[in-house]
Amino acid sequence: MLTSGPVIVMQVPEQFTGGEAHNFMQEVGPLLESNRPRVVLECSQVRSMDSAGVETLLHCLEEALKRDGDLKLAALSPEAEVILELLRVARVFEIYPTSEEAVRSFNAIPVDALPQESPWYSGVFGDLGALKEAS
Amino acid sequence: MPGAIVIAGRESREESSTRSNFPLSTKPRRRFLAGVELLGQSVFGRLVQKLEDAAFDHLSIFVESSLAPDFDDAVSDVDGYATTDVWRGAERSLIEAREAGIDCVLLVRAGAYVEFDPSDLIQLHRESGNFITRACDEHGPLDLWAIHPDIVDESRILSATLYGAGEPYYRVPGYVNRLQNLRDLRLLVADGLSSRCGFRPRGFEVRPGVWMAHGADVGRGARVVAPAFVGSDAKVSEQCLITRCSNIERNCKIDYGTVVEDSSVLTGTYMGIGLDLCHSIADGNCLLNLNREVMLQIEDPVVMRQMRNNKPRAEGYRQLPSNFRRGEAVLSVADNS
Repeated sequence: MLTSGPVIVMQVPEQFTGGEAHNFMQEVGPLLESNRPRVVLECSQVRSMDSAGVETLLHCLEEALKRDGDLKLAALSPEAEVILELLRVARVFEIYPTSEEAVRSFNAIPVDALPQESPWYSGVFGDLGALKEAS
Repeated sequence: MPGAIVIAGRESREESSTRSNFPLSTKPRRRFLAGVELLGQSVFGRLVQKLEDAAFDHLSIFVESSLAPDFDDAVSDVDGYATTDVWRGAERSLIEAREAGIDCVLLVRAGAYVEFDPSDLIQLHRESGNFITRACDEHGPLDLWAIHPDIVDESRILSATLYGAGEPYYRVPGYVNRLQNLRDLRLLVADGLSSRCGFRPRGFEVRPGVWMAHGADVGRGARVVAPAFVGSDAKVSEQCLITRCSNIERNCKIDYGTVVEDSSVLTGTYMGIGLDLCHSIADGNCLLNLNREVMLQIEDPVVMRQMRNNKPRAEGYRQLPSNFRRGEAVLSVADNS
């Protein structure tokens, strides 16, 4: 398991079926109980996935959303992609080509990085005071 | 008086290694593609029917024993023609033809779908005065020959003689699909449904471009958008969508709300509820996605499975002529005279 700041990246097992999916849930479950969990599941190793595996992914997503967090998928293997599309769940998840991009996507709007004395919109629109003076 | 021999045997390792555009080269080919039922009848079945219709005096069929299970939907009672060595069977059939005074035999190795006029090929062969005339298209030679029975020689292997023969070639004027891979199989279905070739669906055109065979059942609210085919005794449940050159073959069931788009569902396949099948071939619990070139075994029977009650064909399905002689397992000769 790798961690990158507050975002947790986990590798989904190669055989993501029945028992394996259950074990995975045991492992990821505590992580999803934190406040605003931010999880990326890296699926590049997945060769086989059944409805139990898909159900586990949906359960994880549900748990993350319940706690105001999010769960994203990254680096889907062709097998995982085909299964998720066949079962019509691909559209439910945010999917990224690599786990790095998935991690970056959590920080797409770096609110925390903004200085507290500046208003939130200054990062987007610049210094409105300066604009006012110029007009 | 011409005769005809049809053989169906698996490729040797050497032959298959020469295929350069086989997308699943790392995986074994599960089925003999010419024996797969498509739009209601297999390529092999259509070939046999074409030769029957051309009224050859002698028609012999030899199917490699290991392939016989794949031919249950091609011709009835194919076990009667099963043999371990199709080429040896063909040789014996040629000797019989020679003894019967036949001067020209059409030999076809089932594989590619070729639209040709047998009488054209035989005429060219006779005019050339050669012992062997092989058919070809713009991509190279095909496994279709017109031959004089005198080429049979105990000291030479028939297959080596035929594959080693050069010109003259008979250039096939019609449509050819070599069925070398599963992408070709989808292409053949799409071309057949779009009327780009003579590979027509076996059924009734209930609306322009929508074909259904006897016993096909489309539920209320389901949409079948042209061009598409629903085979005999297949069931498309409520709220399903079948579209973009998709074919649902005999005895399939597509369950509630499933979308089948640009895909083939082969005989006796069950597709579960609320699925999205796109750019794929489904065969029992085996799924091939052509876009990603991925083949998957779906172990979950509620998603996909082979139907247990894969019923045989309805009464009245074409049988081979009753005058086929089945005295020997390796040799079957029809005599229409």
